[in-house]
Amino acid sequence: MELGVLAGGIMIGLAALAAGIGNGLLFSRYLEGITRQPEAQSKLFSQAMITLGLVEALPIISIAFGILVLFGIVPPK
Amino acid sequence: MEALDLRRRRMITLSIIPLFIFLLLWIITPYRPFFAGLALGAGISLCNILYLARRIRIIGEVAAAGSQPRSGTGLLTRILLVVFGVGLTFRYPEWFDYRSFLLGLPMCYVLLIIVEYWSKGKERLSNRKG
Repeated sequence: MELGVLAGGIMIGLAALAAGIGNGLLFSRYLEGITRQPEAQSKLFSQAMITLGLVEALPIISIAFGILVLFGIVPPK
Repeated sequence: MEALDLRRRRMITLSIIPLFIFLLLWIITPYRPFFAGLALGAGISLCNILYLARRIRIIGEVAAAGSQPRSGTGLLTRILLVVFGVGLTFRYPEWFDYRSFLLGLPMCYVLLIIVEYWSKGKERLSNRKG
């Protein structure tokens, strides 16, 4: 049980960290892009938001995994 | 925002097919918890994607009007939706298999990538023609 709590915590924490780095990179590139080409803002906005959805998929799925491990449904090997 | 609406429509069309197949397999095969979990995961991920598209449209409209968008992309709501699915697999393990639920969760995100490539290909084709 203790290992499960540790594994779940690490899983959720690392996924949040990775998503944070991903979002930071995405929006830095987006801002860079609209600074260079302000006329492409609307096109870049929808692209950036779709990518944001993909980046945020990782912590969401990882939270599902983490909760299952945390509460002992999936035992850590 | 037309590009977003087009992608949303394509996404719904593309994800209805596997969902329908899962439901059909849930009815006709003896592996009912497996396909129920798969359908639950896929349904929740479809809801997440559609909710995200709605929020993006709202933010885009507010930004286009020139004011500061106050709402976010609804991450907490999407996380709670997944937690709700996990809760269902907890509460009714005889109905929903947790492994297939976890398999179904990334389905719509994979389909989103496919839709993105599909849209890019169509745009490239129309640019070449026009």
